Amino acid sequence: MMDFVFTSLPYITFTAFISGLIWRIWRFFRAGVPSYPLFPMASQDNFQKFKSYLTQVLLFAPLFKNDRKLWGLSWMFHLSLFLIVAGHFRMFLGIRIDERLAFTLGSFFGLVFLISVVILLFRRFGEVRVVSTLEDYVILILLVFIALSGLAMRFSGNHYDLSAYASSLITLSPQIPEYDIFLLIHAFLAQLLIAYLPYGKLFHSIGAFVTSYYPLRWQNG
Amino acid sequence: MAEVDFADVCVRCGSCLRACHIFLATGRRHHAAAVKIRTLRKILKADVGNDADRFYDYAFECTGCRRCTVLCPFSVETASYVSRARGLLTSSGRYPSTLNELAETQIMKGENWERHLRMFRLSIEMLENQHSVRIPVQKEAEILYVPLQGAHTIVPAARIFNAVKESWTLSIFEASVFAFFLGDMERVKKTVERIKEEAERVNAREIVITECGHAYRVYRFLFPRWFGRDLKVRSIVEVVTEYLKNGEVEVKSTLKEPITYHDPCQAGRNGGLIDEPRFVLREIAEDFREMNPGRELNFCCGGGGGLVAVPELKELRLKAGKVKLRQIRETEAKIVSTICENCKTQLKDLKEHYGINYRVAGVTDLLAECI
Repeated sequence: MMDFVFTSLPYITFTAFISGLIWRIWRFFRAGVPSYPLFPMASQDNFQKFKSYLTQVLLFAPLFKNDRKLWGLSWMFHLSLFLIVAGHFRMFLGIRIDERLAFTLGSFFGLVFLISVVILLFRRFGEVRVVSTLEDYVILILLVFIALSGLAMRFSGNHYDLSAYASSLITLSPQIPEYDIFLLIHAFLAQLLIAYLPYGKLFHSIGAFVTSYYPLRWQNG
Repeated sequence: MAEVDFADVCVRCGSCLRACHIFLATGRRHHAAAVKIRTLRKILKADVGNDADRFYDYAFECTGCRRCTVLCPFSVETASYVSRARGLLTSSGRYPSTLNELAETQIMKGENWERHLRMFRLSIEMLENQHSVRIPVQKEAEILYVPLQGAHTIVPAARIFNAVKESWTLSIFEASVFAFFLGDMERVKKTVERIKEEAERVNAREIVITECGHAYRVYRFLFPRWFGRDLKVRSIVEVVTEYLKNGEVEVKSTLKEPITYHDPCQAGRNGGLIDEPRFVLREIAEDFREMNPGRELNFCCGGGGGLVAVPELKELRLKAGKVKLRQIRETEAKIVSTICENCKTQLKDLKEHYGINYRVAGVTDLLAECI
């Protein structure tokens, strides 16, 4: 199993991710429904437009106006996710920072992430059940297990440095890291998630940057 | 710019649920924008044939107010999907029959306008005598004013135009475009073309639309796309605001009762007429009160998207109007003003149905009373 997850699977994941992304972007731009011209909501001023675009994609302004609780939750979730991904890149690239700092930050945001995912999952059984689909539950449960296995690795006391493994992957000669049940689960589920990203709702991580521009595009009439 | 598939980015976060006055009132699945957009995409992508009935409620039980879009983290354009789906359903023979009849009547009137002219002149003459106000019909003039059916869309505007000695004439047609509610853009164009031809007949250089939400949006944004920019298009509210700002009309009396303003979705959020009506009201009202939320985040009255003209949806729209009613009651205003005929009808129906007492009036009507 270690063999499969750390040698073949990364390449399968990579292929599924890239080909899926190309397919999805093609579909996204092809299948649109034309909308009617509107009064520009933001402004005719390009700086104002840019500002309004950024407050939407980075600060989630519409959610802030509509649902403060969801906005806070969403921010907690996305910010911790972003920092966790950045932390993984740091580890893969072998960039050294103070280990105690890395551990504290990683554990803190790992816990924040887990808590926000659990609350998001509870929401799906309550107020937003009416719009939820199977996909919503599956992804959130997957994230719970990814977060749990990741935190278990942290707190099991082992030290993980996969920078050597990362470079062995790039040179197409993957060297299997030492066996660890949590590492195995974590790497397997995370790769499932990455491979799935272009095919489902997670595509919003790319599409949002496009659709958020649309309300700003209308010129005067 | 290419059009993207908005349904592709929806994560079903549920922000649209509390944005929608209809969902807030019913809690029903097909009123949730996140469900609506996913379902309507099916009809837009494939020939649904006999299966179309399944999509009917999704498409027609929506007022197209776009509040969910403005409050969506990805700006998902639900109303566009609704409109296109209505268009497809209409072309396959499934539509609320009243809307279709109204749309047909409008186009027929455009084709036979000369036959209507004599009767129209007679009824306007009666109006002139009754209200002692001069109303020119199809005369050469700078401004072609397009009213709706009913004296309240003609007399106040006539008084203001005459007070500033404007060169204006009354259109024999009505501003509303019922085909727009059916998502039938071909018939929308035909309906609008009547006014363009009339404007050419009277040598107008500007078309002024009466207080009407969807008509303002259609004429303001679609008209120049189809027929160019030689003819200027404005709402009567923009015109009277200019008169006030230039000091051309003088406010002689003010309104003492507390007054609030309801932003019609198509004129405000989707049309940009947000500050003009407020400017007029602040000039004439001593106690102007904002609704909360207001401006581009204002809740729909429940009657938009043609719902007011569909008898079988009356129960739904009265239910959906509860959010608006709560907003009105919070202001404790005695006059509710607005600049859309659909909204006015709905606001009157709401007050009757729920037994609340307030007066519904257009901004132009109120200004005409004060000069």
